[in-house]
Amino acid sequence: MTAPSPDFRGLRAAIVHPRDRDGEELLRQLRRLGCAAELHWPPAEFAGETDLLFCLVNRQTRALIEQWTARGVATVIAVADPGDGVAPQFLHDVAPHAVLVKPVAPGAAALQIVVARQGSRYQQRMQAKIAKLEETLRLFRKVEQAKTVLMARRNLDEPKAYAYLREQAMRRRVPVGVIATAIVESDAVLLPDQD
Amino acid sequence: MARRAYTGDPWRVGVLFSRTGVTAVIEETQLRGTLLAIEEINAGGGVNGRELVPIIYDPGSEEASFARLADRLLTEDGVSTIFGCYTSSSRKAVLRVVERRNGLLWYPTLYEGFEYSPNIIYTGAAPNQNSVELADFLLENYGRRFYLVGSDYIYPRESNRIMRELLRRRRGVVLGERYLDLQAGPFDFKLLMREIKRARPDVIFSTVVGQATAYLYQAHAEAGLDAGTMPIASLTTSEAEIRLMGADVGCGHITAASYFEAVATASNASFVARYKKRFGEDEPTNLCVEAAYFQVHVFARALAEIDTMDTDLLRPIVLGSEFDAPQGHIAIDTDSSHTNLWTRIGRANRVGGFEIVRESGVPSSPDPYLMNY
Repeated sequence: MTAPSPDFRGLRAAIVHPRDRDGEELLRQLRRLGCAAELHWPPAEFAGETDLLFCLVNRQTRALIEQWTARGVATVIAVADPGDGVAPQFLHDVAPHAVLVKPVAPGAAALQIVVARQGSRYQQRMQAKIAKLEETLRLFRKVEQAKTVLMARRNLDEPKAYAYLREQAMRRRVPVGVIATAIVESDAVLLPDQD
Repeated sequence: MARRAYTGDPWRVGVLFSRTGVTAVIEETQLRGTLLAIEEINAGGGVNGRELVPIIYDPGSEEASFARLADRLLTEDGVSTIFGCYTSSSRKAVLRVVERRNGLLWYPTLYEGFEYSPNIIYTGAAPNQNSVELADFLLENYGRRFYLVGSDYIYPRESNRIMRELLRRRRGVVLGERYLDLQAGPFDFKLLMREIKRARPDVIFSTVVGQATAYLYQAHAEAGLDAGTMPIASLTTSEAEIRLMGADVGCGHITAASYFEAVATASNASFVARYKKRFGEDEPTNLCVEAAYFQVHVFARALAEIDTMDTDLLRPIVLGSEFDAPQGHIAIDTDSSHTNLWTRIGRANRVGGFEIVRESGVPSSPDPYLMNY
């Protein structure tokens, strides 16, 4: 959404943080924003799905943060203590969408969510676009292969092989990639490698 | 018009068509198509009782302004849907902005294909919906020697690449390929036409757009060339460009498009009448007006159903939706975000319109990557 004041109501938020002053403060802030927020500690207590993940950065949580940033389905905000010497290296390795600095200041969570959601959702859209383009590329390759099969097996020239593929796809009302894949696969079944 | 009682805040949408600069003539008609649809929707009570209000900027045919104004619409103005863009360079500039900010751009112009964006709905023709049929028609009726001419930017270079490929597969011959600046003047085209005349092609395939279109056709007429034996064939020369060059100059030349004013559907007759009533009896409709018009209606129907402009919720409703457009029944293709459109070939007549000389019996599916060809 591009509305001037972002709306976080109804978002599921998981806070993986000890139940101390910072943990409680974060829980309060998120609930005030209208998020369905819960506090989980130790990290193993957190299971299930979420839209927002706030997670303390330390040795115990590293695997959890890595797993969630890799899945690309939620916005991940690391909670880090600047006095902790290993925090920079951890943050570099797990690459969260934003960092909330301890101690948690009033109103800090909302600012981090704005930045992190913008970035993570853009990444999600671009990942979906890349997946779609990769699929197109893969189908292109299939169509080329199917064309080669048709040219060899049916003794067609290139334009006729394309025309055949198109006609078959239109007659069966399926995308040409489906026909091409079927032709390439049936060819592989009919004529196994001669060795 | 009497003020209606709306039951909620207006729906605000962005509109980006140039009213100044080299492509203003055609973009101005797209603006009109957009406004006509918005006025019709509001006259019918708006969308779910809320008025549709356009925020209109003039990007002046400049890429950088398109990007800047799209950004302003999506941030300061807080809209999420934009109707706009004619040239491919302006679309590419806006694409980066709508993808970044998760807006939705409705693009009512034919283009060169080979693009997919989760943030664009394409309602103009992809190359398989105009270029393929045009190549077949020209080879059957005029001959196989082609000369390619274009304005110097993305769309002409890509369209000519596609046309070359189509011709190669059909044993056509390309005698020459030339590009002139979008700002080129009458003298540049006079020199070019001299060169073309020497090459003696059967067809001049033109991807010249904007004001320069008139100079190209005028140079053809002034060189004493005959549209009956050496026509200029185009995907963009519509009723609007013909009017600019003069009906006598345009007569006999060929255009492939999803829509011409002459389309004989009941829905078109009523559309043309409403357009002329609103903008003047001598104002012709064209393919870009029509796409700009029907896409607003497609948008409004989807909006009525989902009742939010949030791109992530609205887009899935738009995909797969259908509409009785002036060109005929159309549908937004779920897979590609492009549109199932009609394919037609028109020959310009003596009064500035087109006579439809070939027409598909059914709409054709968009194939922006030319996977089937």
